[in-house]
Amino acid sequence: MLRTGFGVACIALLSAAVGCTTDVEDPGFTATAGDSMGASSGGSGSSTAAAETTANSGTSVADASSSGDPTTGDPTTATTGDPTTGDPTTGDPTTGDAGCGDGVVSPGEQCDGADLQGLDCTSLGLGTGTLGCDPVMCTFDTSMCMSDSGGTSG
Amino acid sequence: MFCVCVYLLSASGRIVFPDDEIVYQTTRSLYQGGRLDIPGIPRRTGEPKGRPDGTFGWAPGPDGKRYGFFGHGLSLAAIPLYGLGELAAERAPETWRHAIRSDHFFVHGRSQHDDWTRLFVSLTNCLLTPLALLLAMVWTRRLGFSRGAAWVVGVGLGFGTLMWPYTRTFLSEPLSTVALLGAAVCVARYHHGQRAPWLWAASLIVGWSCHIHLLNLIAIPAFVGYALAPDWSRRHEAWRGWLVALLLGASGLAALGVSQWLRFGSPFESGRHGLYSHFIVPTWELLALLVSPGRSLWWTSPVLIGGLLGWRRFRDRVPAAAWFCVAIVGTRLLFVATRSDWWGGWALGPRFLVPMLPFALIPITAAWDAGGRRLRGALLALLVASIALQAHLAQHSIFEWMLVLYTNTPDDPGYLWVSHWSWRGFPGWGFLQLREDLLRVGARQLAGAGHPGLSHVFTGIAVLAVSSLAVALWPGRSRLRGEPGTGHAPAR
Repeated sequence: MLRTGFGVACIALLSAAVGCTTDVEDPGFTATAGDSMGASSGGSGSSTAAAETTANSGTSVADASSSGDPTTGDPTTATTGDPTTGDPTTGDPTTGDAGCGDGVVSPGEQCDGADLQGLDCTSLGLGTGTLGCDPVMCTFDTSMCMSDSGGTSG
Repeated sequence: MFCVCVYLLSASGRIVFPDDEIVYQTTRSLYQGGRLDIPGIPRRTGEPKGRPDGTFGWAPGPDGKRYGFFGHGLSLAAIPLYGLGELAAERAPETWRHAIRSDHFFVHGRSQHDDWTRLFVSLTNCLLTPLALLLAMVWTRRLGFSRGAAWVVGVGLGFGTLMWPYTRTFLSEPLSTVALLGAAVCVARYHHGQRAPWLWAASLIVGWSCHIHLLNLIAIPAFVGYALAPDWSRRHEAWRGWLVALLLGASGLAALGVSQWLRFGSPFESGRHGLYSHFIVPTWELLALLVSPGRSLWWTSPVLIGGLLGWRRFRDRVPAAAWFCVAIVGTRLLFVATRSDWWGGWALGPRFLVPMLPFALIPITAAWDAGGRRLRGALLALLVASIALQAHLAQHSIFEWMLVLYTNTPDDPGYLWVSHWSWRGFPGWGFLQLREDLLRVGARQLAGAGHPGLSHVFTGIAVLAVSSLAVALWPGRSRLRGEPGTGHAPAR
């Protein structure tokens, strides 16, 4: 019983670890260029974010309300197609779509070259700074954003 | 090997916490010149209100240099991986580093060198955590519990508790767990054979564990009690051994004092200068660590409920170890609750209680060994449910979830309150709204963009995981060993 139980458990966790059930190829991170205030310095979150991540849908997302529920999206926001459906019109970047690097944001891309869909670090909820675009993956490069949100200490 | 592979498959390949970045910078300084001074993070990260930007995690020394105030143990342990990162930076294709998720918060600039060295260093806990599982299993066996009970502890600790998600971090808690468990094994061996060198080894480990994290000092009284309790009747014969143990343990504390004196000008100054937290009377804080959805040790690692179920039997069977577990968990729980910024924060669950996970779990062994078929079935169900939760938690970034709460929660009640007390803030729920933060997924996306090399590496890791699991579960192994119940004599 023990060996069988562990076998089942180990196989289940290995499946989970390699993502049999939860892999999401989609960058899944879409945002609006709606107004936002960014993160307030040292405060506790009265600020807003124009974008947030979602899982599994690729149809996310933006909530520009300070009282916003992260699970609710603004219907006026732009969305991308679901790349997990394999819809050729959505341009799944994982299928080797050659669109990345052509300077135009294709469905499934967060950005392309200088085209950031009008977004910046603030609108992504990551404070000030300069938003970039990863030239290989066509996903936002937030390494130059300067969030003032804090972290743990100890 | 299986554990290492699974942990690598759930690694993010990046450093997110500013704490981790400071420890990483110390590793880099040690590797490059045997120094401890660091540049710091040139932006605002975890500074308290009113503190200037870029001052998090370090303090100026008497020589004017900046020194991180986190323990150096993890920095030392990560040096070999930093060296591998340097090698990878020279030889790996430039495109591979783009598998690291780029749209999540960074505390450093991106480059081939900076990405690869951080990627390798961030894997340190993937290698350290299996040691903790091994030590927990050895301790279980030393205490006289069955091989099956040891497996329950090993699998439960490694995959049913926060130990798994914490392999994704470069925080010091997994190494603290290894140290404390190592010392517990040494004490158990000392009890078994009354050989003083095991006592000395335990004392040395505990004394020096404060170089991993200062909080490990809190464990010293519990260890003294654990080692001394069965020894009390023969204290007059054993005093020489105890004296040596005392000196060895004190050497770690003395070295800490010297280190702090050299770095911060006083043996009693940790470098925090009282800027980050203060003592409070624990009320809600203690309750949060016990029962709140976001911070409870038991909610975030449900398999620990099995430890509660087995505690009475555990106490009857191995009283010294049982009371030691109560003491080490209880003192840490109380102390963490009394520090204003240690009981909550931006980490997953009760970060500073992570080293207590094995000590809260190990009483499950008594329930397993004494339990009937139904109890064992219930414990296995609990284990599987806990593994499912950790598998979910280990695929996402808590920092990203905290950013979501931070930017979307009004001042009243405040994002930290939500992260502690609201089920809406519970990471298990919140992570459903996030995409994965996995290097493996990035490698697959990179393969889709025409660069399959790194994806092949992860395929190899998955194959290795399956192979090692098959070897571990191969029925022929136990028959060859002639283990009890197999009906076969040992092979000679």
